[in-house]
Formats: sequence, structure tokens, C-alpha cells
Amino acid sequence: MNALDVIIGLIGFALTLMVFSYLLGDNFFFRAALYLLVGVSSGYIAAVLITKVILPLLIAPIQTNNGQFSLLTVVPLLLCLLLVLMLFPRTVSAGKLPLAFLVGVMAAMTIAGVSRGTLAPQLLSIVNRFSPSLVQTSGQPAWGQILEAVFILLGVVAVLFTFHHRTHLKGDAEARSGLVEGLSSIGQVFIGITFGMLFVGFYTTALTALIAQLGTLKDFILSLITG
Amino acid sequence: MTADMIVCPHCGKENFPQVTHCVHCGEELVDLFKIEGIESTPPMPSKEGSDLPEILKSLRDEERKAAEPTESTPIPEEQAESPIQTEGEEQLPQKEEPQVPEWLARIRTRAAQEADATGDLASRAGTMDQVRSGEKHAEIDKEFTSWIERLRESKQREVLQSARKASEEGETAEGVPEWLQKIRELHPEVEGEETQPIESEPLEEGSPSEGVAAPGAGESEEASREETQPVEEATAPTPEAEAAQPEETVPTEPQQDLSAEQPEEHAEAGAEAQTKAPSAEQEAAEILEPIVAELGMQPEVSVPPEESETAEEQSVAQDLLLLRSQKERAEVLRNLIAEEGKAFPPAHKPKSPHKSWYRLVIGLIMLAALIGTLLFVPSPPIKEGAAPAHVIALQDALQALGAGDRVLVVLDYQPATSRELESMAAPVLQFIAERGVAWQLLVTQPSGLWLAQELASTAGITPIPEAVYLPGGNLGVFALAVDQDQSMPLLPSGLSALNDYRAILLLEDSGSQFQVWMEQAAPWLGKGRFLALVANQDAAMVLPYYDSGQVSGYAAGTQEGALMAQLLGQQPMHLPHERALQVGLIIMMVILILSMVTKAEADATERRREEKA
Repeated sequence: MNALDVIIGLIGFALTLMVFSYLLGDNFFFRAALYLLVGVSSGYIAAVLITKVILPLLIAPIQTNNGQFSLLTVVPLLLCLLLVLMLFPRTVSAGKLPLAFLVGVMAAMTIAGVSRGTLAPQLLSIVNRFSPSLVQTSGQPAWGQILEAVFILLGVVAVLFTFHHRTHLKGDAEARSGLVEGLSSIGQVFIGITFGMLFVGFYTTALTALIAQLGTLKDFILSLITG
Repeated sequence: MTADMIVCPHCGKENFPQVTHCVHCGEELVDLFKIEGIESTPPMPSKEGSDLPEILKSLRDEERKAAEPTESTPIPEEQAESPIQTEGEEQLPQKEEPQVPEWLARIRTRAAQEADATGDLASRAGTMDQVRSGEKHAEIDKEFTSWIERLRESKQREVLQSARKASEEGETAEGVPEWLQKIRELHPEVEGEETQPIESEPLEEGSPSEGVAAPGAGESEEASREETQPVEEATAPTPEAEAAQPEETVPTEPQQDLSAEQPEEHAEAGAEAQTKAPSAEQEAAEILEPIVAELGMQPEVSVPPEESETAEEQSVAQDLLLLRSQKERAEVLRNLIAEEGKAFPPAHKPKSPHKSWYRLVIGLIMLAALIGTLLFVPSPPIKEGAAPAHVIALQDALQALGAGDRVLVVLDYQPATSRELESMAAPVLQFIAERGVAWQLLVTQPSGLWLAQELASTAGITPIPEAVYLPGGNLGVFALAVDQDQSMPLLPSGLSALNDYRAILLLEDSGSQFQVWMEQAAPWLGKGRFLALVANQDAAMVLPYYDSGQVSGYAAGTQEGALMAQLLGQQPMHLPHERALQVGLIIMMVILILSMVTKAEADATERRREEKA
């Protein structure tokens, strides 16, 4: 272990302790570590954007193209300049043009992507689970596959009823039938299970990161002790 | 100011309009208020249950008529008009109407004498001797006090019903009759303590409890003062005095006007009165003695201040306490009014110390358990068992790759999850490199540039391939997927069209970013191209896409990554300590269960409390 590794290791150890100090409440050390992280990240991201985006993708295409001036490459530059004008109060409205362009493109792209990439494939997947080739094996019903397909369908319908029920209650206080209420309750159970699984996944990932960092610190300290 | 002064017919010097005796020569100025035809006025109804508005109406009518100057009196015009030019009253024609009863005229005279008797200027002139003379003054006093008594009794019920209003009034000089204020002026050194028993006295007659009577005292006196206002208007106020204090409905005292308008003269008179203070107090006490006796109160004269305070505190301690509470309430109300309209400071929510302690204790327990496990418990070997279907599918897809195939490896994770994903991706990259598959690193986050180097270094791949940064997030992914012929000059160089890659391996720690690739790129590329190595937190997000066939196979978390490495014949990377992971999960489960039990117990307790309530 050379001197640079020792210095970097000590800095990492100190920063880790500063972040752990949040257990005692919001304090100077925690905020200092946080500000250091934000500052370093901002500087790094700015450097990356300048070297990887602005210069090669915005400035360079204007000069290249066999020495000919390309109008198409000027369009992004003009839109960027309009965005810069939003820094000044009198020219804020000029920056709304590229923002409107971005929002419109993003909305259209998201709607199309969700429809083609999530809704249609997922619905088709549910329907395909009831295909004869899946629900029977060598002429006999595959009860396991059938139960799984029914369970998935029930979950989808119940969750949809839950959200529909909530939307309905916001606008009208009309009494719901017992079937709808029951489906809504079942949907809430499915939603709860989903959230529970998401929580476990997040917690496990955070715990993995913590254990990995503690393991790194342990190795660093042991290396310092053993030389 | 001089326009308001009246000229003494005897000495020719100016006097204030409210005095009844000349302050220079001592002669009476009562002639100025002489009213003819008093005997012809109807008597005042004395029945207790009589209609009060009728009484007031008759009093006001009589007052207006009586206040009109006669043609024979040499009164200045403005002085003669002042009694009838009160606020809200129209000016009546000046003609003689002998409708004022005699007793009312005597009351007015008596009131004027009282005002004069309390004034220092009057005492300097020695006019008190004349005021004290005769039995008719005693009769006037008796009638005056009995009349006030009747008015108070008739107002007593209304006072008790509007006890809330009394808290707003407090113990102020505005709600005190004029004669009582004069008593206070004669005893300035014990003013606050001595007057309080007098204020509470009428309430003891009509109220069942002192707690209700005390707030009503101020109201009763306020009501009595309102009822006696016609009499006071006929004697005391001037237009200038009313203009000086337009907000007050009750006219200002003559003594206060003197002090306000002529400070020098008042100071001189005050100094002179101080030299004669004992005699003046005795004289005032003799005058007020019949009034006090009529009201059933103890005379309060010639008592040292300390003894007076002690005696009052002993006799009427409860009343004093109540009146002090009224003072406190009035102070609170005054502060509220002062704060009205001001911006409220942001609500300060004090931090609960319990939360900090809980967080500290739980954090320390977690850290101690994890560190202890890392130090003293060896990491177990990787279990060999049946791999999940999606892991086997991933293995099949990777093993289908051969030399000459191109694979795009997309790094889309944060540094916080780099340990987890590196341990999963490194064996896969080693496997790909061994099979002669050409692979390209693509990052969608700036931090991915150095994470790619870390990954290649961890996998032991040399030389480290250069990672390509794809800016634009969703739009960048969409543009990259759509640009099949690479005609867009704004895309980063070094990348081929996505269709040229045999497989796209996603290293994801974010479900939303994984969804972006599935929604923006997968529809353009068809099924069977996407493989995924995701963090444990995204397992639930990836599973439906695997079921729908959009993802050929995936592995989630370090355990599945280790299984994947074994299936590919690679050595699993150094995993996070599995025992520590289990300890952390157990601690969290215990905390969750305890939290649920505690919450259920708290809810049950709250429910029982509500049922009891």
C-alpha cells in the first residue's frame, strides 16, 4: 500500500464517519460531507458535459462536414442560446421556445413508449398465459399454470379496480357494489405486496452498499495495522 | 381656548365653562345654568320595573329642554349651545320650556359641585366651604345615589347575561362613574387598590357568585355610566373636549381637561393642593360620605396607604384577585390587538428528542451488529442450488454468443451500487471476453465513465475499452434506437446502430431507467436482444418484462450474480459478506415487527380512550 492509497483511504474513512454522524442528528460534519459530494459531483459533471457533449456534439459539427456550413447543426446551438437567455428576466420568454419543444417531444415519446413498450406487451403476456399450449400438458390441464394465470389476472383487475375506485370517490360519493368493494380491497392487498417487495429490494441494495463499504474500511484498517 | 371660557359677573375674570364657582373670587356661577319652569315638569318615574328606554327618553328630552339658555341670562352664545350640541343630537330651537324637574336640576348642580370640589383650582379658591353647606345637598346626594342605584339594578340582569363582554372592558377608567373617578383622584396614592372594592360592591347585591359578579362589575358601572350620560352631557362636556377625544363615547372629565389644556396652571394648583392635601381629602370625604353610606360602602378617608392596602386586601381579597385576572385578560387582549395584522412567524415544531434517540440507538445497533459480523463471523461459501428460470435464461443467452458477435454493455448505475453490480457483471464480462465477443461500453450517466474503468479493472480486462457517453437520457436512448442508419450527426461517435449488436446487456440499478430502455429502444429492436443484470431493488420491476419476453434473461442481486458466474464457469467475485447481509435483514425485520406491534398497541389504546370518552 503506497502513500497515496493511505491518504485516499484515510479521507474515505473520515468521510464515512462524517456521514455516519447523521445518526446524532443534522450537524456540521454531515453537511460538510454532503457539500463536498455535491461540489465534486457538479464539477465532474460540468467537465464531462463540456468535453463529451458541448464541444464534440455542439461546436465541432459546425466546423466539420467537409468545410461546409451546415444549417442543421446550428439549430441546436440556437436553441441552447435561447435557453441561456432564460438567465435574464427580460428574455425569459425567449427560453420558452426550446423548453416547449423539449416538453412536446418528451410527452409524445413517453406516450408512445409506454403504449408500445409496457402496456401492450404486458397485456399480451397476460392473455398468452391462458393459451391452450400453456394451460395443458399432454392433454391434461396444468393446474399450476392455470392457477398462476388466474392469480395474475385477478391481480391486474383488482389493482385496476382499486385505482378506478379511488378516482371515482374523488368525484362522486356514489355507493359501490359489494363486488367492486371486494375487488378494490383485493387490489389493495396486491399493491401492498408490491410495495413491500420494492421496499425489501431498496433496503437490500442499501444494506449491500453499506456492508461493502464497511468491508472496505475493515480491510483498510487491517492493512494499516499489519503494515 | 379663550372662546370656551366664561366670564365671572363678579370679578370679570375668565373661568372654565364647567366650574360652578369662580376660581378667582369664589362667587357662584350657578346663575349661568339657571333654568326656569322647573316646577312644571312631570316627576321622574321611580318604579323599579318601569321601562328603561322610556326613562332615558324622558331624561334626554328634559335635558335638551333644560339645557337651553334663557333669554335673560347673559351667557355667551357658544357657551349656551354647548350642552345641546352633543354628538348625534340635533340642535333644538332656543326657547323656554320649563320641563326640567327640580330634583334633576339639583342633581346637575350637585354634579357640578362635585366636579368643582375635586378640582384643585376650586380648592385653591376656597369654594369648598360653600359647597359643603346645607341639608339640601344631602337630599340631592340621596336622590342622586338612589337614582343611580335604580339604574344599576335594572341593568344588572343584562350585565350578567353579557359577562363575556366584561372581559373586554377590564378595569379601566372608562367604565367607572364620574363620581368614582373623583374619589380616585382624591386618593391617587392608593388608587388601584382602593377603588376595586367599590367597583365590585354593586355586584354583590345581584349576583349569586363572586366569580360572575366580578366581571360584571365593570359592565354594571359601564351601564350606569351610559344611563347617567344625559346628566353628564348637560353639565360637563364642551365641543372641544369631545373633539379632543372623538373615540370615547363618554365625555371627558373636567379635571382631565384642565390638566391637558393648561399644564402650567395645573402644576401650580397641584403643588398647592399637595400642601393642603390632608384637609382637602377630609373635606372630600365629608362630601362623599353620604354617597358612600347610601351605597352601603365603607368610607375610605384619612387612612395611610399601607394600612389601607392591607385592610383592603384582607377584606376583599377575592375581588382583588378577580380584578387582577381581569387585568391579565385585558393585557392579553391588548397584546392580541397589537399583534393583529402582523405576519405570523413560521410555526416552530420542536424536534422530538425521542426520535433522535431511537434513530441513534437503531443505527448504533445496526452498525455494531454488522461490524461484529464482519470481524468475527467468516463469510460462508456460495450455495450451490437450483438457479431461477430467468438466471438460466440469461445463461443460455450468453452462451449463445460466439466470436464475431457484438454486445453493447450499458452501464446505468450509480457509484453507491457499484459494488453490487460489479460483482455481478465482472464474471459475465470475463466470459464474453473469453468467447471472443466484441463488446462496447455505453454509459448514460457522467459518473459511468469512471465506473466503466472500475468495472473493466475489476474484471481484469486489458486494455480497458473506452466508454461512450450517451447524453440526453430518454431522448438519447430513443434517438439511438431510431437512428438505424446512423444518419444523425449529433449522436456520439464510436457507437454502431443498435440493430448491429447481437445483444444489449443492461447493468441497471434503477427501475425507471430500465423502463426507458424497454419503452424507447425495445419496440424498435424486437424481442430477444435485451439481457439484464440489475440490483436487488429492481427485481420486481424486471420480472414482468421477462414474462412478456422483452428481456431474454436477467439476474438480480449478488446471490443470483454468483449463481450466474458459476453457471458460466467463472469464479464469483468477492461478494459482500452474506452473514452480515442476513444480520442486517433480521434486524430490519425485527424493527418492522416491533413497529407494527407498537403501532397496533398505540391504536388500541387510543381507541379505548375514545370509547371511554
